[in-house]
Amino acid sequence: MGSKMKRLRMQQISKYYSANNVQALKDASLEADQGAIHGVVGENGAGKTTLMKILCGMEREDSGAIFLNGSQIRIPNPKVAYRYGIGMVHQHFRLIDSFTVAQNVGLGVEPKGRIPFWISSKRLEETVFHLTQQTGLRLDPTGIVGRLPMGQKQKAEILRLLYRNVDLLILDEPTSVLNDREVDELFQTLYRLKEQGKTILFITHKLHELTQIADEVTVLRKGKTVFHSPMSGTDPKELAFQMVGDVAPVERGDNRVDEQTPPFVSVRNLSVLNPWNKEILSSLSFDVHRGEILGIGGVAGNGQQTLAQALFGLIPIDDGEIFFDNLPIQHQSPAQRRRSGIGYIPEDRLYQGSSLYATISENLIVDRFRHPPLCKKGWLSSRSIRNHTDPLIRQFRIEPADGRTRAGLLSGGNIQKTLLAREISARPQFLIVSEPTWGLDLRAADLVHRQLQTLRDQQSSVILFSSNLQELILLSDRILIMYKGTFAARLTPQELREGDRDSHKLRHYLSGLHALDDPHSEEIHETLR
Amino acid sequence: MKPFAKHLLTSAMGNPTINSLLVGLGAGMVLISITSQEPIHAFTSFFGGPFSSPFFIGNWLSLSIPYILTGLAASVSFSVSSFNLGLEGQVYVGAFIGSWVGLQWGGQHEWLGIVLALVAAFLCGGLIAFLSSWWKRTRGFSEMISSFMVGYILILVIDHFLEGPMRDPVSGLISTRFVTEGFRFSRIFPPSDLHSGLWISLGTAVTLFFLLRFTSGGYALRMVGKNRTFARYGGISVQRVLFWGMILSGGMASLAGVVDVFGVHGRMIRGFSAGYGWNGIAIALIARTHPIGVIPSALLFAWLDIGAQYASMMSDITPEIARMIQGIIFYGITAQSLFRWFQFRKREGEA
Repeated sequence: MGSKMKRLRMQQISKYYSANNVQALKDASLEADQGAIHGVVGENGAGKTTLMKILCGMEREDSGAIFLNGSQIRIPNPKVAYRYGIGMVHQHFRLIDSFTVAQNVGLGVEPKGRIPFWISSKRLEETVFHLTQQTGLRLDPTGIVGRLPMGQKQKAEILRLLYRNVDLLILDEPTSVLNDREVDELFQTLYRLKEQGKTILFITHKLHELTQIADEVTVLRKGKTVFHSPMSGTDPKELAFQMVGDVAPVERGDNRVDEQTPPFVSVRNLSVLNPWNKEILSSLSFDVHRGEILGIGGVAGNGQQTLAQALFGLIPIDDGEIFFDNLPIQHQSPAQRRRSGIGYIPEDRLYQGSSLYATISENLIVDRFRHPPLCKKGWLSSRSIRNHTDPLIRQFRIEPADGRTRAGLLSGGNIQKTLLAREISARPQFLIVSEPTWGLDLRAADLVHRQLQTLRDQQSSVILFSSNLQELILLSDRILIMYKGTFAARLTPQELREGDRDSHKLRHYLSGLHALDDPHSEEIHETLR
Repeated sequence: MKPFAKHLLTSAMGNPTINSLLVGLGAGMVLISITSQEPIHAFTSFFGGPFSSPFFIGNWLSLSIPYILTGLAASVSFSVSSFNLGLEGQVYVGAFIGSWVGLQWGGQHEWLGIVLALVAAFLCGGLIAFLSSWWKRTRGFSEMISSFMVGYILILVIDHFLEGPMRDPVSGLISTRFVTEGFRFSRIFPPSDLHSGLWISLGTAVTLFFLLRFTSGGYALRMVGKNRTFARYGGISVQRVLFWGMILSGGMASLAGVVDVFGVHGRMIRGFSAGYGWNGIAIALIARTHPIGVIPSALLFAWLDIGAQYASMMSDITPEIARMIQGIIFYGITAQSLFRWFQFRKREGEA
C-alpha cells in the first residue's frame, strides 16, 4: 500500500452526538500529504469541524482509526495531539487579550528563568522573536494582543502552534474573520509554511479560496467523505456539485402571487454596520407580498443572520426603512413587532429561540402570557396554560409530551419543534424563518414545510433563510442570493420553474461558485456572522 | 428501616447542602476541641444554646426577621440575573428613613406613620438599587461594583448624621433618640426581642412566592433571569422587568432595616445592621433563590449567630472562634451554591 507516503490518514471515522441526536460523522476519511495544503470543504453541518476536533483531541471518535506517518495513534486529549505535532487554530481565537504576543505564544511552556518558578520574559521574547524571523510571520513579540487587528491575532495563534513544534496545522475557517488584504497575507504565510514542510488542513466553505491555495481537496457531505482529489485538474463546478449534492426534482404547489398588489412588507436601503463601521448589510431593498414565501439563500456568513435579526428588531439598523403593512417599523422593539403580528424563528434555537432552564409550557407561552385566557388580571391560570399548550405539544409531536419537562432535557429536534409550535400557532402575518429544518428528521421537516405552506395559503408573508437548496426550491416563490451583504442574484418564479429540471443556476450561487468570477469585487469585511 | 425514612436518609446524604453543613459542623468540632478546655460543654452550648431557654429561642427568631427580608432581597436580584451587592447600604438607609419618620411624626395615628415609614423606606431602598441597574444600562457600569460602592457611601453619609445633627446627646451609644412608643412593634415573647415584625417578613416571603409563581409579572421576571436574550426575543421588555426587580430587591432590604429598628432597637444605632446584607446574599444562595426556601435558610443563619453569642457567654470559646465556625459552614455552602450558579451561567453563555 502507498499508505507510508501519507503524512496523515483518518479512516472510517464515525461520531454520534446523543445530546442532539446528530450523526455528525459516518465513516468519514481523510488523507493528507506532507508539505501540502489540504482543503476540507462542505456545507454547514457537513462534519468538517467535528472531524478536525477529533484529530486534535478535543472530541473522541466512536469508531475509526487515525494513522500518522503510517503508524496508528490515539489522541485522547489536545496535549497528546501536541506531542504528535498536531494543533488547531480555532475560528474564534483563544488568546488572552491583556497579554503580549510572546506571553500568549509561550503560555504554559515558558522557558524557565534562573530562579525557580520564575519566567524569564526576556528569554521568552527572544525565542519568539527568533521564531518570527525563521518562519517569516512578522509580529512584534512585545505587542499587547488585545490591540492587534484580526489578521495579526491569527498570526499569534499560528506562532503559538509553531512554538510547540506543531507541523500539522489545522485552520478552521481562517478567512471568515479577515478582510481581503489580510486573507492575501494569510495565504502567503501558508505558502511559506508549506515550503518549510508543514502540513496544513484548511477548512472552508468558500470555493474560490481553494482554487487559490489548496493542493488537495476533500469534500464532506452529511458526515461522509464524498470526494477526494488533487486540486489541479479539478473543475470547481464538480466541487460545487459534490458539496451541495444531487438535487432531486421536487414537487411544489403552484402559487400565484399577485405582483400588482402593493407589497405587504417592504425594505428600503437597509444597512447595518459592524463596530468598525464596515457594512455587514449594504443598502438592501426588497418586497414581500401577502401569500408569498421569499427564499433567501447563499453561502452562510454573508449577512443572512444579521438581516433576519434586523427585520425582527433584535439589532439596530444604521440606515434604511422597513415597512410592514405600509407602516414604518424600523424603530419598534421586538415586543412591538410581535404585537403587530410579526414572528421569528431564529437560527440560534438553543439560546435565543428557547430558554433551556424553563419548561416546555413556559417556552410555549412567552409571546402570549399576558393575554386572556392564559392571564386574567395579572394572574396566570395554570389550567388555561395547560389547555393551551397540551394540544400544541401533541400537534407538533414534541417528545416527551409533558409540558412540565425542562426544555434543556429535550433533543435538538424537539427543541426546534417547540419553537415552531409557538411561532406558527401565533398565526403571524409576517414570519421570518431561519434554517427551520436543521437537525430535524425527514418526517419533522415535512411537517415544518407543510406548516409554512399553510401559513402562506392563509395569505401571510414569509421570509425563509435557508442553506438547504431543496428546501428553498420547494417552498420559495422567489429566491434572493446573498453575497457579502448584498443580493448577488434574484431568481424569479419562471427561472425557478426551469431550475426544477436543471438547478444549475441555483447551485452555482448556493455553493459560492459565482464568487470565482470576481473574488475581489468589493472590499467588504465578512466579520460578524 | 421504613422505606420513607430510608428515602429521607439517602436523599439527605446525597444533598450537597447538607453535606457541606456536616463538613462545617465537623470542622467546628475540631476547632472547639483544639481551643477549649471543656470542648463538650462548648460544643453543646454553641449548637444547643439557641434552644436552651425561651429567651434565646425568641432572640433566634427575632434575628431571623431581618435575615428573611435581606435573603428575599438577594433572591429577587439573583432571579433576574442582576447582582445587587448594595444590600448592606440599603438596610441602613431603610433604618435611617424609618427612624427619621418615627422621630418627626406627631402624637396621633401612629399606625399611619408606621405604614408611611415602611413605604418610604421601601421606595428609597428600591430607588438606590435601581440606580445601579440604570447606570448599567446607560453607561455600562457593572451593577455589582456600583451597588456596592453606593451602599458604602450611603453608610458613611448616614453615620455622619448619626454622629452629628441627629445624635441623641444623652445616649452613650452613637444613635438617634428613641422613636415614639406608638411606633414600636409589640413584643411577642418578652423578655426576648421577638416582635410582631415576624409577620411582616413571613408575609413578604409568601407574597413574593405567589408573585413570582402565579402572576404574569413573575413569569416575566423568571424568564428574564433564565435567559435575557430569549426574553427579549419573546417580546418581554427586559428593561422594565429589571427596573421592577431592582426596586423589589432594594425595597425589601430597606424593609429589613426599618423593621429591625421598630422591632428591636427603637432607634437607629450606628452599625446595628452589621452583616444583615451580606448574610442575605448567602441566605439566598443556600435557598437557591426560592422565596419560601429563604425562611429555613435564614433560620439556619440566625441559629449560628445566636449560638456564637451564647457560646462565648457561657463557655470558654471566644466570639472569634464562633465566627470562624460560622465562616466555615458559610463557605462550604456558598462555595457549592456558587459553583452551581457559575456552571449555569457558563453553560448559558456557551450555548
